[in-house]
Amino acid sequence: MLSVRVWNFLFAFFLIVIGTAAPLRAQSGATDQVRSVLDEAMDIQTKPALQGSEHRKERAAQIRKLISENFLSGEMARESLQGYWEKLSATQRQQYQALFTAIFTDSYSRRVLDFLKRETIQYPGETPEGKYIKVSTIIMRTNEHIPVDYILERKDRKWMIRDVIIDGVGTVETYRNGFGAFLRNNSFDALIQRMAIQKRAGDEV
Amino acid sequence: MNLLARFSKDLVAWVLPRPRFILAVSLLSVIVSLWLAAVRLEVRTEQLELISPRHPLIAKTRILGEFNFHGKTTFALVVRGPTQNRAIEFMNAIVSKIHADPEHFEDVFYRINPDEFKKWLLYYLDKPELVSIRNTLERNSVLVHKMAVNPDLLNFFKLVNQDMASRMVGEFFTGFLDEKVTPEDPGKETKPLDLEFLIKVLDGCSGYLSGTQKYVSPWSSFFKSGAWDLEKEGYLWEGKKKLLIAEVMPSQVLGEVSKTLGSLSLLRSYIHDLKTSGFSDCEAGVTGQEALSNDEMLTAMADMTNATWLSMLGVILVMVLFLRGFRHPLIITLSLAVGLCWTFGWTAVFIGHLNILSIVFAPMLCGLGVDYAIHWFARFEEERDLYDGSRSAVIKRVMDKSGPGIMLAGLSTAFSFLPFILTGFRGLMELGMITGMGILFIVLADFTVLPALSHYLAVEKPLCRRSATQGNNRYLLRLGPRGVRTILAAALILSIAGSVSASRVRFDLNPLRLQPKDSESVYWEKVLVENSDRSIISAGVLTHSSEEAKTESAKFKALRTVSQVDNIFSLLPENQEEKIPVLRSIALLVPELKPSVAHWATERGHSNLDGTVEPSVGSSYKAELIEVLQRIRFKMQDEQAEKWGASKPLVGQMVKVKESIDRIVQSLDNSPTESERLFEYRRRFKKDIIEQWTLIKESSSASPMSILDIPLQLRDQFFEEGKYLIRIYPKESIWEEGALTRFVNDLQSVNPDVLGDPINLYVFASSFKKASINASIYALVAIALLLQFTFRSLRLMLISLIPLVVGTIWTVGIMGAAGFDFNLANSIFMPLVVGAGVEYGVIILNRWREGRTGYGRLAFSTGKGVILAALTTTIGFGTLMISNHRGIFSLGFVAWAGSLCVLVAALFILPAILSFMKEPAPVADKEAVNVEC
Repeated sequence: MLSVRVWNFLFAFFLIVIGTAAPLRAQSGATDQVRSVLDEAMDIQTKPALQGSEHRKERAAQIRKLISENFLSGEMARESLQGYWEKLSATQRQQYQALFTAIFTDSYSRRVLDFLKRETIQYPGETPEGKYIKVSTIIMRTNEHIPVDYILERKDRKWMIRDVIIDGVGTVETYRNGFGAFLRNNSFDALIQRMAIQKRAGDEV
Repeated sequence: MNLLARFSKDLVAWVLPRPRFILAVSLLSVIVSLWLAAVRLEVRTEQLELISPRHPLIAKTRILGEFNFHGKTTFALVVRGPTQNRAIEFMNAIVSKIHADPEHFEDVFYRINPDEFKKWLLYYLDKPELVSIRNTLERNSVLVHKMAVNPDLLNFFKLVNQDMASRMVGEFFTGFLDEKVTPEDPGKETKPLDLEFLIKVLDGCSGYLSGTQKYVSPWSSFFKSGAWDLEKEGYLWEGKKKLLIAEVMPSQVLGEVSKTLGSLSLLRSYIHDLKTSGFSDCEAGVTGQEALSNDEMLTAMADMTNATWLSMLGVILVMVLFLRGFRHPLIITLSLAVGLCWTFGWTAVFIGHLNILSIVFAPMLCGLGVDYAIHWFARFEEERDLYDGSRSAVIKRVMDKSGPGIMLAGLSTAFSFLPFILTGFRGLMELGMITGMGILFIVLADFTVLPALSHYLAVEKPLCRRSATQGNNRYLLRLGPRGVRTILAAALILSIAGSVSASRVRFDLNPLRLQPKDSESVYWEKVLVENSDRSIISAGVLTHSSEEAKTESAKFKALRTVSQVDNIFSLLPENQEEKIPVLRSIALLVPELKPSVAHWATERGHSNLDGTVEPSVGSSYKAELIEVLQRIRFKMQDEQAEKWGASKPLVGQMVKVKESIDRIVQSLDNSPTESERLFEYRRRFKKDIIEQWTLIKESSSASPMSILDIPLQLRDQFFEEGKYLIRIYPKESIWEEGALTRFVNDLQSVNPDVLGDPINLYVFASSFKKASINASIYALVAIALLLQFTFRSLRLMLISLIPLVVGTIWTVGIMGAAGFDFNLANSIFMPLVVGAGVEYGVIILNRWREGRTGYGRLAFSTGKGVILAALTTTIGFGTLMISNHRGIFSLGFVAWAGSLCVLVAALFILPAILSFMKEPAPVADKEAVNVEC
């Protein structure tokens, strides 16, 4: 009969194994998540019933839904306003986040609508990025290789995308640099106004 | 006249008994003359020497010539290509040929070595261009700094891709922040992307990899300035950069007609060879003062040769028709030929050369000199038909009766040329001496060789001889009182009309306008004038200090006829002090190269600073390069860009980028040997960047350029031994009427000591005009004195001059109507026509003085002789009209018209005027025989 010490050791060992296995299971999940989002986007883009310019709005709506379900727009918004976020009131933050989400979703869905077809995508691998995971992909076309990396965060048992790095250029970093440059010469209200105009323009197209 | 009659009699008395001796001596002298001419006679083309070998301009021109490649003769080679690169390729090719032929070419100046002035390259740019370069460096500072650290091809494309990715993502997500966005206008592209530089690199790489082109530096498109392409720098472009110039220094070969003609012909053959072997899209030609002179001389000589032969043939034909046989024309031709050969021999011994004026003497002598023999035979046929006797007896009679008149006519013609010696204008002096002596030699031949030949060959007994009475009643012209009045009235009216028309005739003193239109040197000189800011011909002023050079230059520049003024300071960059702040700011933007990078550039091999050898291109490098190119390709979304309202040029550029990348990738994928070429291209690219960075750094840090920094080859053209040369270029084409005079007058109003080809041309032309007028006056005076001395009657002397005066008025009137002006060629028309005009008057007057003509009549034989003489003279001058040289053509036209006008005046006006005078009593002719057929 095993002693209590041995049982304790085995239990600890079991916990260690489970503990280290969990992240391993989590890593493969990030890539799967990205794969699933991309596959779904490609399905929308290539569905026969949704082909043609007359179905663009329907495709756009589905793509937007896909984005809103899989991207942490709020987090992205906050990070994009690094250095200014803390100074905002709750109302301002809310207003800004709503506008950012709309603008980002609109911009990103347009890129998907305009560029994504049925692609061959390679998934070279994932790498930890602090508390996040970076999933690398390469869109393989005949004469073009487009590296796109996704930064994911696990939220409520689901991997959510919090940044997209297109050919080495991060979306969040781009927003941060753009907003930062804008706010050096303009007020926050001016930014909100500009974003609102952009949102309206996106709604109408 | 008695003197001439005695001399004529004595001469024929000596000649007639010994015809064989005369002919033998003549033959020998002809052989000697021709040999002398072949050995000693040369042709000189120097324009100023035509004025005087001691003309002060000659010495000054030699000083000026020292600034032109130390006094060496040069041709200007002009090249025009569809592109600047193509013109440069042609130039390089022909320079290679020139350098490979030191026997014909001493040197060629076609390019300043860029290394000698590249340190100040940026100083030569305008300030706005420098500011643009600074802005470009600022905008691309990341690229500039990172390339300075690693100037590698792959790194370059990575940086470009990175920049494009930033732009692309930025445009995707934050583009709205840059625009004044409204709901109605979602915004358009505000910062145009320019892919020209990228296209240049890609095309260069693609071309190099495929082996279709050599390495081409792309940096001119980066800086939007042509100054960066040092491969193209240093060449001698004309102002608008359409024409490439080189100065070719031919070797001088003695003994040829022109010392540089052989080199000129060879240079043109090289041009032709290149055009037919790969450069059919380029044009090139040779011009400049030396080439213009050579072409003019070539044309003139060729035309003179043809004109002389044509003249002789024409004259023979006319004589055969008029004299109805071949024997007498043959004798005349042989006598003329002997006289011409004696003239060549004399010229070779006493003058030694021909010039552009005296080269016309041969056809002129053919036309003028044949007259005396014609008059001789016209009288011979009359005497032979009328009187019995042997050939010798008839010859003696001809000599007694017509000899003095013919001799006087010959002397008169010679005297119309010999006074040219008094003009002091060397070219005319030589023409006068040669032609004057030529006439005397021909007259001598007509009094020796012609009688000797006639003794053996003249046609002796016709089938039927006319009676003396009948013969004496044959007239060419019989004027009644009404006819006399009509003729005189018509002459007056025509003279008035001629005077009115003659008032339109001007002097056009520009010798360039006489050149053959289709001459290559003329064509290219005009191309230069039309397509560049200035002519190849310039005036010059020497100054003794820099301040004087600047002051004088400013004065000349202010003249309305001046397009450009160059001096030593023109070679320096403008406003250097003003550019220094911009240059220094550029210097700050260009990073220092890493030592390893800088070292790499100075080493000829591929070794690095630590001694390791640079690896050749491996498969991983190639793969990485392909990958980054494909990433760039992805960003060239031309269809999307068009949809988003991007400009058409940008869309076009995107397409080009994609095509270039596809070509490169295909080359690298398909052929393993491309690795070597890729390695080589990579090496050249790296070297190029390092050189560019070094150049910018050095040039932006350099002190302003001074005179001493100017390359010696250029500096010597404007500064030598303390003397500063100012070159002044005309605004108008000095080929055009009046432009040369205006230009020279303007220059001399600032500085009377101005020199150069335009001045030489102008001085030459002015001197020539003055000399021609003087020559005409001297000739007229000399002939008047001779005739006065001979006739011993002022009235007869004046009457004998009437055909000349009236004929001249009519001739100048015809010139006015036909639009001809007096020029440097036909200005010698007057002396020519003086001789011919006086000759007809003397012959007719001399016949009238025999006393058997009658009121208003002109004896048939005399008239026939004068007409035939005029026709041969006309043909002799008329053949000049076959010349492509416009000056000689105009001389032919004017002299042809002149001789016909003088003929008409002599045939009609002289008998009409003589009808008012009492005819002298006829001398009894005891040998007259009435013989029936």
